[in-house]
Amino acid sequence: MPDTDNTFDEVALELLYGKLEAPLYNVLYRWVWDGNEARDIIQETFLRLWKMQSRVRPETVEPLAYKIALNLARKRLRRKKILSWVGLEGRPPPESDRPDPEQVMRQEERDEVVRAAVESLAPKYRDVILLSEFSEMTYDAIAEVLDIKPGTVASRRHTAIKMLRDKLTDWSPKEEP
Amino acid sequence: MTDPFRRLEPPKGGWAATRERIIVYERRRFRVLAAMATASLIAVIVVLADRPAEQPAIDRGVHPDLAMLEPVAEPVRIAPDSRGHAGVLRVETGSPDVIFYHVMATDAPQLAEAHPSP
Repeated sequence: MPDTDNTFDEVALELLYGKLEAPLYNVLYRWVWDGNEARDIIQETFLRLWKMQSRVRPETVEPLAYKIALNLARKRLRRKKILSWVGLEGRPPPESDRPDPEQVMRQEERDEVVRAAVESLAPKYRDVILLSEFSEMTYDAIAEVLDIKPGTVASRRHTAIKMLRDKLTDWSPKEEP
Repeated sequence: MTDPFRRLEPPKGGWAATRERIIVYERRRFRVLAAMATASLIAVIVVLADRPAEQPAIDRGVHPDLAMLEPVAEPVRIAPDSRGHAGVLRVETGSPDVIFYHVMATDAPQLAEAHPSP
């Protein structure tokens, strides 16, 4: 946290937003597969941080933001599942803003393959691989977000990569954080 | 290449929308707090307004039986030999700290006739 006087005011919140918006968006998108919903969850996350600002400690606010965002994403997914069971909500199409229809179609096909691969991971593996790919957090910080040991983060990441490689043969993950 | 972790750009205006939500939340919170403060103030005013004014310990209006009696100009004295001509009746007030008595005296011998002395 850039704030030095140990307070969590609007300026500190804006700085944190600037830092976490893109990685949070990427993590959340792979959970809800809907750009608008991912953006909405980010806004809700920061509103919650604002509401609890008196209890927020600058040194732990980043893991806290991820924790809140992931909980919100899971909650929305559960609600979506229930709604789809009763036929009130369909599966959202992959997001794309590219103008070329052919390119869009190819990208959508790739997105579908990726989505199927990522969704095939159990939530505990998905959390670890998404956070380690996008968040720039250390294993220790990821462990704090997920309430697990740092060693478990490493082993789950390894398992998740192996499972994804089986499904996406042309993919190689980034270096370990 | 099928990259499951292709970096996506978040839509623009995310912070502005978040800030707008915070402002809406703060406005709502202020309204709730103001409403609660107003309600508390009104409750205090109502309670204070309903509180009865302090009354003297002996008030003729306190007990309906006492209201039947005309006020006396001087203290009622019961002479030691007025048995049969005077009576004292304790009135229940509901408070052990407050005791009323009805004191009745007559010059006529009716009481003496009704309750002759042994």
